[in-house]
Amino acid sequence: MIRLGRKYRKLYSIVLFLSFNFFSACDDEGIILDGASYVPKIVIEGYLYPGHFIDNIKITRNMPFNEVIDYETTILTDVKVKLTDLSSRKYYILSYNKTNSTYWYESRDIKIDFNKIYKLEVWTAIDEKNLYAYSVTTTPAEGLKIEKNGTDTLCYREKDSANHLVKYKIKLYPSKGSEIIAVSITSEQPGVSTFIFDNPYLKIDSSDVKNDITRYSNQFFSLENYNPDAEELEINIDWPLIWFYGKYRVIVYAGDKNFKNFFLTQKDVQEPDGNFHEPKLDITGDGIGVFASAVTDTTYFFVKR
Amino acid sequence: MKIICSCLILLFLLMNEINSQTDSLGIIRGYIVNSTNGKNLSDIIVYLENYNISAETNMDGYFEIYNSPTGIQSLTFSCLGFKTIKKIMRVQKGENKIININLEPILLCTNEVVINSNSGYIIKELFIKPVSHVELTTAQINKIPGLGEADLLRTLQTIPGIQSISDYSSMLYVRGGTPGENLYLIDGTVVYNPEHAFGMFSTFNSSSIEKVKLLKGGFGAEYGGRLSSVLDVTNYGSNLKNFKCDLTLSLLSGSLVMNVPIGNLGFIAGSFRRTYLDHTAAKIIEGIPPYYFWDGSLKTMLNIGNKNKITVNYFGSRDNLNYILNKEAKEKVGFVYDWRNVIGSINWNWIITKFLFAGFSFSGSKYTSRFNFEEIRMNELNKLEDYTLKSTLEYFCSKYFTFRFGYEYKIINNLLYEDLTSKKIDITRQVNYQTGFVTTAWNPSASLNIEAGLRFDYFNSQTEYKNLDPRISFKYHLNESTNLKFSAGIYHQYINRLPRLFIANIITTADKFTSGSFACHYIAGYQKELGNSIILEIESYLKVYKNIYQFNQNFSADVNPNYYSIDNKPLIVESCGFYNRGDGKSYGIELFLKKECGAITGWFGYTLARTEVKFEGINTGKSFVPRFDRFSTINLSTSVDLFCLFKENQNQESSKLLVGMNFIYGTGVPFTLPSSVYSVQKLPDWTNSQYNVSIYPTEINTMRLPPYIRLDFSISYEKQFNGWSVAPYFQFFNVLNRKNIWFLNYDIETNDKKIILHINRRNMLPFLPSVGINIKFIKTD
Repeated sequence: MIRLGRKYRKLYSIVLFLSFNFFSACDDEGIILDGASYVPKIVIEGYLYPGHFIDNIKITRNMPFNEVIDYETTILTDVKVKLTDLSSRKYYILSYNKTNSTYWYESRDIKIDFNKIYKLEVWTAIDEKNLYAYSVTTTPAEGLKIEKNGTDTLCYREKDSANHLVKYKIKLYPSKGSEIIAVSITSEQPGVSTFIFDNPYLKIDSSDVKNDITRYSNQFFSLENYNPDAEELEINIDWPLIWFYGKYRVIVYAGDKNFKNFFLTQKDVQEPDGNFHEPKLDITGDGIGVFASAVTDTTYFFVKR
Repeated sequence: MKIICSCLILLFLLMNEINSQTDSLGIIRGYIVNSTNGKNLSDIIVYLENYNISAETNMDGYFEIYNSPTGIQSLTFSCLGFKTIKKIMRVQKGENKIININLEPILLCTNEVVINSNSGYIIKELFIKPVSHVELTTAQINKIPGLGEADLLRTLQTIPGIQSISDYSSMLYVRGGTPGENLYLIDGTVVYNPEHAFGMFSTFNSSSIEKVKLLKGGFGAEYGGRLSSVLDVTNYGSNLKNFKCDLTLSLLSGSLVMNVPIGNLGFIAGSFRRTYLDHTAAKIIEGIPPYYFWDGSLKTMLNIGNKNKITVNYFGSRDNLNYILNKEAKEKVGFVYDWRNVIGSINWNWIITKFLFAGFSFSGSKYTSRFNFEEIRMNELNKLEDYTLKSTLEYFCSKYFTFRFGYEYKIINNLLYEDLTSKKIDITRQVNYQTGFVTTAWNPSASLNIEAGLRFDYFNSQTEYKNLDPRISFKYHLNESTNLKFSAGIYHQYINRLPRLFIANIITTADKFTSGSFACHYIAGYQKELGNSIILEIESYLKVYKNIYQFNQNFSADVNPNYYSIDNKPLIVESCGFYNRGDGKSYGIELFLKKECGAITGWFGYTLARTEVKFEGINTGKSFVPRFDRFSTINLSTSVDLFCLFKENQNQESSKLLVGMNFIYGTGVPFTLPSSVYSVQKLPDWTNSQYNVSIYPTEINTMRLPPYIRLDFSISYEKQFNGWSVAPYFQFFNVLNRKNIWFLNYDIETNDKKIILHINRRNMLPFLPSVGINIKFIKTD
């Protein structure tokens, strides 16, 4: 044993020395992010609302990752956009509306119908490549209506006599054919002075509120896969959606399948371990985004100190 | 039916014939125990010199050698870590000789001369072991530097063929398989959730482990129900003779292990470990959550006569996170996350006749995961209860044949319950799962061993699944220092452990929407003994998967309600839409160089591997490499006993100074680089919110992160006193402080109509030193 130890002692020392040199060479490495192949896509952002005109359909393009992007350069102004009513086979060529950088059917004699199937087709060229995309939406039936219950003012985290939290309740009558009730809750008076700092959810200072004011002022939740035969639904607005004192606008969307798939899957494409999955976007061809239809109603409530 | 009857009659006649031949020879059988603590030793090689007849002790230390030639025989008992014993005895015609052997352990700093005296036995031992077999002892686990304290699963991550996904995870990705495809057993009972702390540590207390057997693939018909590997942990401390107490304190947790003999009847042993960060650091340092885990086990073994042994086991573990969101607010709101394992078993081992060894057990294993966030009505309960009745029979037919039969009857209750504001999920399954197996080992010559097995599964959960899994392995002793091995088999799995968006996995069973998963293994191995103390193993493998599942990240959009509640909200009772079904394959080659004796011990491993999977609804249905795929991995784990290395005539009973090192180099794991970004509002009425820019992923996992490199060190000094010892230790995790990347995420900032993307590196653990102490008490009679 001793003989072996002496014989190899020098060798061990050399190995140890070389190892440390090797390990110290194992420094941090950067990542070169130029390997992803950019594929140009038409980005559609269009919603049809029964009873409304055909307008506000945004057509933009996607941009390569890892670049500072000027939003104005993503807007596509020279695009052929066609909307077809598949039941009557009537189609409408949409034109570019410079005032809000969207496409519309300038003639205001056509309104979207309830319970109809519409197809949107888009042709354009991006980076000298001809692209085509289409999507089909089925508009929900008439019927969405919020029942105003009169109790539209609450104290923040108010409790009832049984010490249960009182939440703002919305009773509504859904539209047949809709697959999701998406609720947009927007503070109409967001600001540092109205922010609820003594909330039980998050310790936050005023500079963070300033930087992320839209994050707190725009909140949402949804109810999907509800009973299609339901005569009425009741939804509660939970307190974690409320970050400011003051007036809130609540828009309820009764959306179709495209609305549901986009709303539920478009944003959360990265998993906790960093992996990605694709969103469910109901656009065929060279397009991404959303082309959906919805019936809406709006209500307001007030949160006081 | 006629064919089956004919086969059974033929088998019966064959056995009778063999038995009648056996009567003209002798039988040697008995138990082998550790002389210092009286515990039974499994996997000990027993062989008759000059005849190339050998046997191996089973889990209870029992062995049998049939067809022993009559006359004076020399019997050798050997195992790494124990002094080899030769026993000369006379065996008479038809004699049933019972012999119980006490093996004396040798310290790991045993000099090379002792090793040389055992030359040749290593390769014989390896010949008996199955293909892709790795075995570790407590001492080996404790010598590998860890994260705060020794950890079984983290030690196993240093073995070639086993990958980890990050420093934060102790989960095992074995040869392209996911952690849910591994069968974890404690004393023969299934553990469904083997990790603590969201996967950071294993639930196995390394101080209470006696032995770990890992089968990386190609396992025999006695094991089943999983696609990739088997981790069989024999929990400790069956100390028949001495009272023993082992106390370990680290920065993370405290652990106590005790062995108490019960006269000559048996022993009782127990262990308990708990973290104390919730009572220490969490009260002082902001940001450390009040999280804790504990685990404990209890084992009692009673010998009833010479032929019966009863063992009772209990194992429990619990993780708890009771988190208050804003501690400074007047009103406290938070959530509770709690998950537990409870396992119990009663085992009875019975030597029925001189040819027949039986084992019966009744066990229960329960996993519960509970999440409650009452504020937003978000409650989840995932539960799996497994009650198993099991019997195995080993029939020692002759020196050529050994048969093993087994039958297992399981009742499994599985529940996934979620009560959310917008929906309710209540998937309840009651499963009837029956398994039968038969294996036979045939030794046509001393240098060839063929093992064939057949496993039959009957799984009934809404629909019936019946599968027949053949398994076969060939082992050829090429020469005095070389073995060749081959194994192939079909494997089915019906219980899935699926990672998902939430922090804890969910455990589900197959049903009419998710059928049983399938895998086929082909493994070829080469084993060589180098210089009498070093083992070289090279193995290549190919695995083919069908019907593997992962959680559908878009399930909210895909799932369809089965019923509606009274307030018209969806009630989901079927698993349709919850999972993405897929296929896959993995292949690779592994090199394993291992030295188990001497002042320097450890192993070097190299793995070249590739895994490809294809899932419906992911990557537009095209195949891709999963996140855990590493093309090339180098592992070097060594431990040096410095006193033994540099000092002369070191007394074996005195102090030890151990330096451990662990080095890992792995080529980068894949990640997805989004090809583009686009601007669309989440809701139509929003303008210029932070939600208006989105990432669009194209092909998944086509890029690779930089290589993963990590070097860990540990130093421990053990001072022995009369009846007790103390061993302070220091662990240094990631001493190079290399910022290995876990993953990248992307922040999007919109400013003056400009979109600015920030790429954030989420790094793994930095340099983390830690300290601990181990104190042992031994009271000898």
